[in-house]
Amino acid sequence: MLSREGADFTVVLRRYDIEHQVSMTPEEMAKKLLPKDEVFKKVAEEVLYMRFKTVGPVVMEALKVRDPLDVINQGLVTGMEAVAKLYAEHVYFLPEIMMAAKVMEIGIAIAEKQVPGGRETKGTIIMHAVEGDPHDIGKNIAAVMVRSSGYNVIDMGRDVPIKDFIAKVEEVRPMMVSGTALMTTTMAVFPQEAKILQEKGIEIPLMGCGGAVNREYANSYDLGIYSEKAPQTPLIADKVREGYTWKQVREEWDSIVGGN
Amino acid sequence: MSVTRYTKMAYDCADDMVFGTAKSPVAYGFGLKIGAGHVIPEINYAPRPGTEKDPEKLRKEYVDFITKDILDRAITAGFPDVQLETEWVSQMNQAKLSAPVVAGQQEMCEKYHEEYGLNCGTRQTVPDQREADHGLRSGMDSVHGYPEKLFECCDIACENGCNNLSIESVGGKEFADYAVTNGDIVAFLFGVGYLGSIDMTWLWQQMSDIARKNKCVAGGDTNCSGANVSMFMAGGMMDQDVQRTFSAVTRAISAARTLCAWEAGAIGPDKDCGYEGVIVKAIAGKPTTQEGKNCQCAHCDLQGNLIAQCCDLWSNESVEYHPEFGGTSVQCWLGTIGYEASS
Amino acid sequence: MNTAIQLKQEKTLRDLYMYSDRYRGPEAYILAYDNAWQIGKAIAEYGDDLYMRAKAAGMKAVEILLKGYESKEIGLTVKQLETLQDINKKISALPDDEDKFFDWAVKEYKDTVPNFNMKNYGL
Repeated sequence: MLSREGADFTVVLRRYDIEHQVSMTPEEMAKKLLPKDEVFKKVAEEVLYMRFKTVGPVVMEALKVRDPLDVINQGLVTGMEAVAKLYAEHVYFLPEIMMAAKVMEIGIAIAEKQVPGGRETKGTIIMHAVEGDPHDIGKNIAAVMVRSSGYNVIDMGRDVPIKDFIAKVEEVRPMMVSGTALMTTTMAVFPQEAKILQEKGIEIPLMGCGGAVNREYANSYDLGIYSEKAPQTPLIADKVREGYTWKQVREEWDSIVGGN
Repeated sequence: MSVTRYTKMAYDCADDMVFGTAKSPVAYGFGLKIGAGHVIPEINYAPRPGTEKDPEKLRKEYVDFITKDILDRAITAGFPDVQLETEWVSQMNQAKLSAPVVAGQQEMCEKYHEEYGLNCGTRQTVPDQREADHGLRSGMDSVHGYPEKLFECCDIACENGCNNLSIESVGGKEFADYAVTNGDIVAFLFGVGYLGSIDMTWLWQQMSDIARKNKCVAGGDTNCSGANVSMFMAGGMMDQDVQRTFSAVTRAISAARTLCAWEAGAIGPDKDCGYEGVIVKAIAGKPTTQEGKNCQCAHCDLQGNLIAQCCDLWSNESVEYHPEFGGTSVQCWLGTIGYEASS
Repeated sequence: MNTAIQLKQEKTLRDLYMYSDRYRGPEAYILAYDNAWQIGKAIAEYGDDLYMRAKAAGMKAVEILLKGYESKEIGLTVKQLETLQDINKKISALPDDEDKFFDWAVKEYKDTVPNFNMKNYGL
């Protein structure tokens, strides 16, 4: 092997990942993000520090002294919002999001039993990998992030026939739908789905995602909007919930997703 | 086909390994000799969306446009060798769509070999559409019959003129997906390193038999569904959903699985997206296909130059067929990999 | 490549390719042909045992990276190092017996990994 003595590899490459790594710990960042109320703070910390084993008992204790919807929203969901913030700041990464979301779901399942009439979500979103496409890992990650943001997600899985997708949309009438296509040969399904939805008078945003899709393509047919990566999906969903149409989402896309 | 596990290294030391030469070179197609003292460019492509709807449209796309453009550019630029790789789109699991493409490409290669002496041939990479929830083994998937379709695709490819039969098999994918999103290395070891190896062995015993029966070469496989998902999610310098130390260890584990194809009868070269190929070549001595800096049309990895170190075929991974200023996309990308191979 | 081979400079070019990315990141580092060869050796040492060889591959990659980091040959972020140390702990704790590992893994993952079905692997 050639000797590398005297060679300066900083001329060859630069480790931007090392140079720009975030040194703040989750504990330091979380100080400003956690609730002041000691009971809710304890619940939020269960999510923030991904404590599978103890979230159940902590939530049960909290339910003795606090309203169940408050335990969910000010404890569990606030904890998840802190996790999302840590993820955006590159302190937490994907495994932490997935684990924290699971802990939150465990806690919500316990608390919502005590909510009279059940817990209302922010809205329903149908997600699927389009007909002919078996790739679903991106969709699965996005589904976790969207659920963690308070939405009810109906995940139809992968290789979903167009007719099944349309039938589900007609049955459920979601606030928006999202689809994934990893292959150029499958992304052609999006405009077909959009056309059928429009013919049926269902003018909801149809989000196109996945490796094959780019913003230009997703915006090339009516109803189409774009999400480049999983963390953008809940941000866009929040705008649709506020009443944004697919046209408005397109127009303001850059400011909606911000730096995410 | 019987299985022989590797317990010794083909290379006594790392310094014996280099690009262009493998301990066990392979010859097929029209004059192609892989790992026999020179590196060959391998051009990979995808048809335009919509062409898969009609057999004649698809044949025209793959044969009259893509294959002809590639072979013309090889002559224009003076490249002595070129391998074409057709990664079957999922619709090609029907003979009416795939057979004319395979046969047409073979015919076109033969024509250019006879007229110009261009050494050329095709790798046909059949689709593995199997899904863990429906069943990976024959007889399990009553909904789609994907295991059976896989072997039918092998038959179609080999009976119609395939030179190198390859695949990107998905055994262990359900574990890879879970492991990568949850940062669970033991799940990856169990699902990909162990269960995935069992699946690849089972698969390749049968694929090798089909290839041998039809006098085709059984090439090899990759862990695209595991180690590459890990690598892509680790991303570039500022993307860190998956930590790059995690993806490094998944890559090493995946080599133990990719080796199984060569233990179950395949003789190489393996698939371009198997970055673990250098590890597997060190063990088995068979030729390896690699991709890196000249596959920017598909993705940007962080070992674009390094991964050329011991390659026997040098690939562009995949590019959709479309016009560029310098010619069609397949011509432009053959130019980049062909010139690199020449250098 | 082919000109280098003809002019007997192929090993020089090989090393230039390799060094260009050796320090670009941990995955490149373990794929550098000298390190890749070591991982291959670790696999071949347990060639007949699918579990042990996969475990050995993982352990060797960890060893190469830790050694490279400690000798300051390859840089890692704090999170990359923590992840590597965690991987080291988890893989080191695994048994050296295929049957023991298998029994444990099936119990551990049967209810957590979606679509895990032993019949898919003929088991």
